[in-house]
Amino acid sequence: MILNGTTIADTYAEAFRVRCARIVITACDERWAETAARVFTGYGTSFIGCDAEAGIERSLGAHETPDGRPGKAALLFGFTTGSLQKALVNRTGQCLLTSPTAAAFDGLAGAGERVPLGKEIRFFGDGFQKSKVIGGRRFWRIPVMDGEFVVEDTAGVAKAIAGGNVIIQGTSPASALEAARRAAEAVAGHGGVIAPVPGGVVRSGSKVGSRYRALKASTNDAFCPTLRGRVARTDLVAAATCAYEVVIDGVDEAAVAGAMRAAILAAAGPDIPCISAGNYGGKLGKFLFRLHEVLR
Amino acid sequence: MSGWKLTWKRIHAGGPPAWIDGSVLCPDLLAELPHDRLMDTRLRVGQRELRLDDVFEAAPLAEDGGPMRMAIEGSHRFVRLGAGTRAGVLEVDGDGGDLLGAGLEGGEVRVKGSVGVLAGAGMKGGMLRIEGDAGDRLGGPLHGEAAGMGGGEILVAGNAGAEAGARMRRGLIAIAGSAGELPGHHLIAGTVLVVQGDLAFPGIEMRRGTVIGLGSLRPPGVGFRRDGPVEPTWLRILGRRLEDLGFGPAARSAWLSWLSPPLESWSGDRLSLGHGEVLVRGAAL
Repeated sequence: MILNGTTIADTYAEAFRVRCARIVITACDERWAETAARVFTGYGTSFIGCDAEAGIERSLGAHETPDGRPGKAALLFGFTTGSLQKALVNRTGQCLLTSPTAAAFDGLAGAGERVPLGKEIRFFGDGFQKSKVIGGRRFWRIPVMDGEFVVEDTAGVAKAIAGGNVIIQGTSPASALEAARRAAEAVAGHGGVIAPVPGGVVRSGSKVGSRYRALKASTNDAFCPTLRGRVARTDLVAAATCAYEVVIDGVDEAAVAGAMRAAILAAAGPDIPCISAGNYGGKLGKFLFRLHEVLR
Repeated sequence: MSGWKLTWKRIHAGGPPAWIDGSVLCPDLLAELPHDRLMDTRLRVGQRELRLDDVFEAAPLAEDGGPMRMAIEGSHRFVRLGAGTRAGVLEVDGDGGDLLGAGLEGGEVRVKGSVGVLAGAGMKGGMLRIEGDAGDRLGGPLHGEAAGMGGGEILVAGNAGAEAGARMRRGLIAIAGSAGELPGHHLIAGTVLVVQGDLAFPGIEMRRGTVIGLGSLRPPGVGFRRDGPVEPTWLRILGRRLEDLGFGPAARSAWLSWLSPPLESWSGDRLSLGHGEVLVRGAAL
């Protein structure tokens, strides 16, 4: 398949079943909501070494938030409910409790599973904390120096998908990076997904396993341009000198497929000879996103 | 789901001249009954036990795809109308009498007129909407009980009497008009909001919970200490909730501006547990 002069490889992205939570973060204004959300979702690029994969899903207007203040919806992904809950409580306690004027609310009200959130953080109030039940939802009010930190008692957890991806090959680092930027921006405009890697683009795509027993993952040598002469097999096309990967985590298959489609459509064009995807031979992930199918 | 509309028989226009135990008039008990069983339902009127057919005419309500419903002509002589309702909607066209919705567990009771004492007493869930006024001890304890309402929401578009929210232990009471003295008397938990008028002796012997007055405070009890101006975020959540319920002004975000800071906070009552708070817009008089 050729799209705008770019070959779309006949391959697939292999993704995994994970759990996700959505937190609505509000603050007194857009600047402080952005600050709180960025800190909350920081150091959340990959399950390999971070406690969760995290990102800002979208901005929320005052009419969309429980307290009528500007906000951000942040998505957090974890392999299990337990690991996700631990990351959620830690990040809320260390990043949102500390952020000026921030408040934290559950953004998955209909989720079948719920985990304690404010219920665990309330003890910071040292006995001075209070709770309010409004409209069937319990909120904790934890006294802090600028008033109160309001955090919802529990957060919903739902099944989700992590590891959707597209690998963009360019004739130069500049063209590959520019195309990857366009792809990341296209993903950012999609609801229900995040691209947890830096700016939505990762330069160090990985493969499972390593020659070093202690490592779970290692460099994806098939896409490394400096290893073309040394590896048994390269997945770089002849004209490509650089590759970037856009990783996509989403709330369901439709969201991930839609975001992959948007990424490919945005990236394809001059100086992008090929767009492909990373997989593990179909042996590890439950969800296979074939590039030709997501483009239909 | 449809239901029934009950209107007084002509000889009882305005309601019979005796108190009427309305505890059987609940949508979850009657709405789905066939006509003959409905009219055979027993009802205490004064000292006598009558059949529904002796007092009411019944007509089916049109199917509207909503929850089960009952519509009833009101009377101030009702006692315990809709008490213990678990689901469905009870619409009262007129006054609701005393102990309206006592022990309510779910569903909704809407009253176009006013109600007497102890409306919502001991309720555990659901919603009471009163378009007129409410009497004393709104949401208070049932006779012999130590605690008042434990959950649910009571919305009063008019005024309320004394001791609104007495011994309440969770839930919300919102009064768009004014309230008599001692709102939140012995409050255990929950929120009492009074939009108009001054708060007179709010929260006396309160343990926890919040009494909010958008007027002034007259005067605070000896067990209260002033915290100073506060800007509570949770009040914005409350404002959004009241807006979603369609209660109060129609203008969008009116609640957010009504409940927006600054409010003066008073902590107390130290003569009790002392973890409660009284929030007022104006100064203490």
